Amino acid sequence: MTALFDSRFLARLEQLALLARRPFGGQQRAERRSRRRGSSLEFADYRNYTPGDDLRSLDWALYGRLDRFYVKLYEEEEELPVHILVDASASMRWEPSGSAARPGKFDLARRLAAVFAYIGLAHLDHVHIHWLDGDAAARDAALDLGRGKAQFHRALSFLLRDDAARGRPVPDFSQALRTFGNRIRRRGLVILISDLFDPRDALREGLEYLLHRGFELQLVHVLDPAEIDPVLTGDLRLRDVEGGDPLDVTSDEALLRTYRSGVAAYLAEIEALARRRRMPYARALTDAPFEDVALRGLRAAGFLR
Amino acid sequence: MTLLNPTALFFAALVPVVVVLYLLKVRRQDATVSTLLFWRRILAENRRRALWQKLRRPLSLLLQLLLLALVLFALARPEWGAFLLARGTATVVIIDARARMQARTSTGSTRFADARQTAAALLRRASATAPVALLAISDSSRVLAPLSSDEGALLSALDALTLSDASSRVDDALSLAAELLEARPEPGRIILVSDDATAALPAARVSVEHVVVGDSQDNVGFTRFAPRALLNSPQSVQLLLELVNHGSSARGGSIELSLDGRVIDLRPVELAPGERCAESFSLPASGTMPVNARGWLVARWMSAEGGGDALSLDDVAYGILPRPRPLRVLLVTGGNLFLERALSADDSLRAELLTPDAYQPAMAAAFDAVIIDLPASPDAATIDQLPAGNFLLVGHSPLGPNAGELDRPVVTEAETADPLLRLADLREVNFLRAAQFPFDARQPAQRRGLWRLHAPLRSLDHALILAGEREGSAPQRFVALAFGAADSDLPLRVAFPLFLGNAIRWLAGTDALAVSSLRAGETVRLLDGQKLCLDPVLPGGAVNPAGTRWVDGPSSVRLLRNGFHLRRDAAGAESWLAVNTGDAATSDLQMRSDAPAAQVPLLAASGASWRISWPPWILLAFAALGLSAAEWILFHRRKTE
Repeated sequence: MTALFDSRFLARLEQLALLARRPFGGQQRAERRSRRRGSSLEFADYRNYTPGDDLRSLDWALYGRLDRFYVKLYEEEEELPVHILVDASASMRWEPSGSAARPGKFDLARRLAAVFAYIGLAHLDHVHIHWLDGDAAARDAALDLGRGKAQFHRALSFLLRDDAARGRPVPDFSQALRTFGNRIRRRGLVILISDLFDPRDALREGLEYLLHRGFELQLVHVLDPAEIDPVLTGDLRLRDVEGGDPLDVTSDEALLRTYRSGVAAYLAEIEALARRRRMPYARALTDAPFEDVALRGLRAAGFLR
Repeated sequence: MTLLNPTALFFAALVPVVVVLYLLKVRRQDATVSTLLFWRRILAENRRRALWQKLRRPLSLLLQLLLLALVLFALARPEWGAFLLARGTATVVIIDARARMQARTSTGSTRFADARQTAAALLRRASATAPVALLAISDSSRVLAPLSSDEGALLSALDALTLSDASSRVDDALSLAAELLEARPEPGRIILVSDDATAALPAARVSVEHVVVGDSQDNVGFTRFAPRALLNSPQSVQLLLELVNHGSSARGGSIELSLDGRVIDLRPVELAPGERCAESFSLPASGTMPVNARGWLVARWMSAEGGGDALSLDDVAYGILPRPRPLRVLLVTGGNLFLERALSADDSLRAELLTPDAYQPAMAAAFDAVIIDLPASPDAATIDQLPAGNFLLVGHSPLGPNAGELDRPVVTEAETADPLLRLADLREVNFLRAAQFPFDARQPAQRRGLWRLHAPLRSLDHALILAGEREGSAPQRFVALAFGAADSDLPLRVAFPLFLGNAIRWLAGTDALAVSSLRAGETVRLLDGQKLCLDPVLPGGAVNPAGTRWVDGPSSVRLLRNGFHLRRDAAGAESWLAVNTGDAATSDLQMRSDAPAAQVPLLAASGASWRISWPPWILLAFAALGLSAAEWILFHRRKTE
């Protein structure tokens, strides 16, 4: 995975920044505008002088015109809390047969998480990486990277080290998101990297909950082409990698056409939800060139600027 | 419909096996997917597919059972029609392959093609308990396959049968079939597949059943085509041909006559129903033709309506323009003006004159005929010492010295049919004297050793003209005249040059009516060294002697195909032999209205040619193959399991 992150690629990533639709208050000063007034160079407003104010902040030019004291207020620039939520469920580990030439969904998700982490760290955002899976222990094993590019190696080792521990089914995707939202105290930007397959078909509830909690959500939908256009024909006993009862299917071309139209409707539904709730949404296919996905695709979808 | 192999239906016991196999659960292939979310959605939405899923298994079973039924039915060898060879009977199937069977029927096929299909259907019914033999009527009647139960051998013999342009009698084939069956202990039957529904075998214990093919049709055809050189002028040729309308309506058209591909005459002809039209043509003198000309005469009947009639075979007739070779004659005489003038008057003769002193017996072999006009001498050669060559002896014979002299003999007997006396009437010739040959003419035909002697012109018990022919490997001829040219008034008669020409041509072994054309099926006798090509060349076709079949003499051969056959004599000289069908019975394609004695029930089914041409089991096998392919496609399109 680290082979993708050569210096040239990282240099290109440094030119990008995570795009948050609204400011979030951080704990430390950084490069993000916040609602707080502070000491940055960005003028924010005036207010009347009150005794005790720093005289250096008086606007003497205004005093000369109006003969009254006003104090110049500047915006405070703070860090952006960024939560990169990587779906590590069993469905993300699924790889179709004959797909050795392309990365799996989980690989792609980790690479994208690393990209987001690097960009955030490079712009002094406070980056967290969380796993989203059915293992309670793993959910708790989130990584607080802090700020600064120097922490990037921790992100890589975290993404790689925890590889073997992932892969548990997520029986309730919505509940997992709720749990995540309840656990995180600092609101901020949540980048969800997932295949968005909810066995209970309750994805919307989880997303709405996070939005309700004040998080800004961004969705990276990782899919394998075989999930959109499968080549499964014949008398099949389909087993869900997440578990559950198998399904006997006699698949033919007509059924596959129906399947494809069902998937297309599902994707359109998610896109409509994202558009309605103003969530940047990008679809990342495992057979697409990674640079196209990471640099062009994410910028075009409004993740980066 | 009859099943020839009903025991195959015992394989129907396989039906439960097929059912049991289908009752076994289908083993599904395991496949792991990332989510069943979409699969559950589409299966829930598409409830009608569930009903189809339930129907797929019965449909698949139904297809397999239908496939098995087709295979079983094919193995049972069904045959159309109710006809079946009875057990314990021997059957002879006679197929008509004569020239008339080339006639096209109203359905577009030929009578022979229909007959072959019908015969094939009959032969396929052969079994161990009902053997079948196959006879063919072509140029003659012959057994193609003896009584056999081997359907393959019978059908192979039938496939190998080809049509000829010859004709022969159906009765001969029926007699042959009857003889074949009478030698068998079991009862027999004869089935004649022909367009002749009237042939019967009288006074025989075997009945004849008919399968009549073809339908009654009008036809116009040549029945005679005879080019010949005129006797009085062999260099001139006259052609006689005969055209017959065997139709029920008048026909108009024209006869086109061509020589070596060039049209030389076109004559309109109107023929009433049943009319025979004889036409004669005077052809250009053969002497005016190029040396390398073939001399092919071709007459074509061209109907005014255009297009051909039912039988194209007899619309063309072939012939060879006679071009006799000049005969070389040596006249050894001390002086005979009559002989010299008579020889020089005949264009077909090339005479040379020699005095007795200059004559050597060895010279004779180089001439077609040698005329010895010398007084009788005691040391003249006898027939045992006759040198090589053919001789016309005047005043003496090789039988030995003359026994005396006849005074003013009168002709008492003349064989006008003899080649020597053809068109030459010597019965009124006045003789002054004649030599008395040592030959008793009361027995006009005698044999002496290899020699066959006869006296076509006699005076009581004396021969006035004596002819001898030696048979064997060195044929030789002589003609002895008992009278000299000056001893009768014969030189003053028209008959003299005719007789002289007859004598020289007979001696030379040629006939003015030399055979240059035959009817198909007639026998040609080839002498030692002669060759004949069996494959004819037709006008417009290339001559390729290397690619054709040749027959070497001495032998006899039948020519069965119309056209021009190339022949070579011992010296390598080539000539052509024309072969025509020329048979009125062949050209008459009208069907007789009187019903045959017995009609095979298969006749009703023979009208449907497509059913006869393909055995039903093959059609069933094709159907099974198609069903199998359909089942395969349905299976792979997930329509069946």
